[in-house]
Amino acid sequence: MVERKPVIVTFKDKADPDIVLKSAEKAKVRFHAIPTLRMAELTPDVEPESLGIVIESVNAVSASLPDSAIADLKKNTNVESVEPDGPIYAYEELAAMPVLQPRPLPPIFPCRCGYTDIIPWGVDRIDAERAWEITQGKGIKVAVVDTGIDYTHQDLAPNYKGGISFVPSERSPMDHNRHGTHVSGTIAAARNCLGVVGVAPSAYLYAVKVLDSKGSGMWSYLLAGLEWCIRNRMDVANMSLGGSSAPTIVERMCDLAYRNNILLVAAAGNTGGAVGCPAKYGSVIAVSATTTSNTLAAFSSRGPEVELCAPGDNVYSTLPGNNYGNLTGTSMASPHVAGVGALAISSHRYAIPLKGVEIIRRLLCWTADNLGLPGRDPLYGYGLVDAEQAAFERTLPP
Amino acid sequence: MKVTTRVSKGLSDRIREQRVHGRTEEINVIITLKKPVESSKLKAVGFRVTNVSQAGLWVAGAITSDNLDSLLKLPEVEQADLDGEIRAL
Repeated sequence: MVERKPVIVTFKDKADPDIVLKSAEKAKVRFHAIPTLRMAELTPDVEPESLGIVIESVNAVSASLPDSAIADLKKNTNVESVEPDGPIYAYEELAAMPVLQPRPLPPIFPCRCGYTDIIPWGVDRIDAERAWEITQGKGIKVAVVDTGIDYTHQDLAPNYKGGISFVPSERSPMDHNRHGTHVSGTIAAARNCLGVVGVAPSAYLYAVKVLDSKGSGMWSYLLAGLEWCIRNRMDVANMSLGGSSAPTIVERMCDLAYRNNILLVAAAGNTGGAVGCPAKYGSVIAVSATTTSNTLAAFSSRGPEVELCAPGDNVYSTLPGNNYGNLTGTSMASPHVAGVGALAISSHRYAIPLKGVEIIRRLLCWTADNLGLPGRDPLYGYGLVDAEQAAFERTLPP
Repeated sequence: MKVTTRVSKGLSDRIREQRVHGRTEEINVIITLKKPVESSKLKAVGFRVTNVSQAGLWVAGAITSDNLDSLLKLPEVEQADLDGEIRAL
């Protein structure tokens, strides 16, 4: 049997999609138009995998075709593109790992009670503790759009200011997974001489639950969550989640949130391939993940949409039940950038009413430590986010 | 050629899959709205609403493929997309 590949064939303006019938005739593919979703009757002799659907709104068809038919179509001057089709993908973060050499706070932050906060390697790597000399992000509202937050955690309770669940089966913003709690600790675990300290240790945390206890949700939950962020005037929204494709309204909602001066930060993805949604949208900062050696983690998605990179390998942070542990993924990189965003907003509050949150976004890119090729590149974007530079920089980017 | 401007590819694929396998269960969809719509109008065409935009931008819910035609005929409806899964990364 000839191997078939799922593809989407897009035609140039005013091209006649009937040409696909000729090109694919030898592949025995039959195309069924679905005007207003009234699908043609399927004939019993047609194999399910060879069915094609005509997407008339964009002059395109989707079908499973053999290589020979794909090659024919690519040569056709009426055909604009032949692209692979595929399902939504997603990757879980890796399992919790043993603690990696956490180190106590440096002497510039003496602790009177005799205990110490641990600075996770990622927080240290982006020089967050140096930024705390000028700001710890106090009062900046950060929405953790995720599995919820364990708001009773000793390191998160001081900064937790509220939350909501858009998961129908879980009415509380309490985290029954662990993902959102871990992400929250990286953003804003408190400087309280207990456990760890986050990038912006005085920022306010809001749990916006759109993923259930299994780490899974629907695009409609995310839409509702983003709308909540707009209504409640969040300053930053961290989205350590995604899929490979999304309804068009999701991008519109991200754009709307960005126009409402919410700094949107999202994990690029863990496939090692293309950047997923919502990270790939123009209004969202896509974050790739780096290792302790400042190289791109193998699992990290990459592509032209990547804007910044941050530590995402064996990141030590809070886990439910006053626990701590290491997780790996671009989910862990994104909250480093969200935390720096909170610090930068805090130290440049005056600029946002004049120039919008876009100025903060440009500041993060402008002050990043370049990794990889000079300038922006598909692996590291503009480079490793730098909390100290972003907080202290007095000259705003053009 | 007729124009179907309001159905995403993902949703079309799901309907095709259902028809091929002779299934008729509800499909989770997100409807993008041109303007706010009364929930009674959605109910009337068999749309089971699960989530609503406070700003009247979209509605999420479930509907059978047989009823989708009627839903798309509502003047408030701009587009129908499949409400797919997202995951923690």
